[in-house]
Amino acid sequence: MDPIIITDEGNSSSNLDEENNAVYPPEYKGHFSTLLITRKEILERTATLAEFIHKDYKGRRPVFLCVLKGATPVRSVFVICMIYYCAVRAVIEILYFTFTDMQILHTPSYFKYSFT
Amino acid sequence: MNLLEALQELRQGYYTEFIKVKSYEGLHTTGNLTIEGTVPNLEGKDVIIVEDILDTGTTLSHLIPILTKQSKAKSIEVCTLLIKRINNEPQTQNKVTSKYIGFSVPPKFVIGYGLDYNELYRDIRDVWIISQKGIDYVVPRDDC
Repeated sequence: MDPIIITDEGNSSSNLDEENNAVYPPEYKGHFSTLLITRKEILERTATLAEFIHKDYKGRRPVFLCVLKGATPVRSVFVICMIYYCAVRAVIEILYFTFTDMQILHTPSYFKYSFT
Repeated sequence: MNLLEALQELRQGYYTEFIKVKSYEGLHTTGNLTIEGTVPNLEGKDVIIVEDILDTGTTLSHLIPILTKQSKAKSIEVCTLLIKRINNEPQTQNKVTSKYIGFSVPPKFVIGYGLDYNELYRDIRDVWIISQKGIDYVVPRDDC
């Protein structure tokens, strides 16, 4: 079946009516450029899709299979890099403080006062 | 799931199943798709895969052969609310053909009505094209 084509400008003639269209949490203001499809249009379309499916599957019981997608590796690679970064940084800091502490502890005090 | 509610109105019987898939490539997925957990028993069943948006169709192009082989489904069709046009051609060149399609949308980043970007914008009534500000937006965080 042919889909309803939505152009770059969106489908809704009501697109100009910004006041009525801006149905989203106020923190999202400016986050969107074009209204493509309204919920009303989606509901109408899904009703049509259901009729098509019913026509094809009447008397049968199809299985609707919903596919959930796992985390993308982009994110996991990023997380791994962050863990390594934190670990390396922690080691560097420990070494740094150990050395500075050692300097404080092991600086012979007579150095400071040897000429007095 | 308005589709299922609409089917209830039409007195159409159906079953629902969920599977979780994982692919091992980045944004430009090329393969290596695995199904997490057990594959549901679909032997002799007419399966309709439900998608919110069909982009390049890479996931499904790998999933459908696996399902055909492993689950012995009688038939497999695809139903998607949105299909993204590639290069803005009306004739889509997606890797998978979907029998039931709601809308064909331009090759832009679309969000809303359950579609997210970094877990944001699922909570919107309508489908929109995201703006650069929306892409760049980082949720303020309290922790480091």
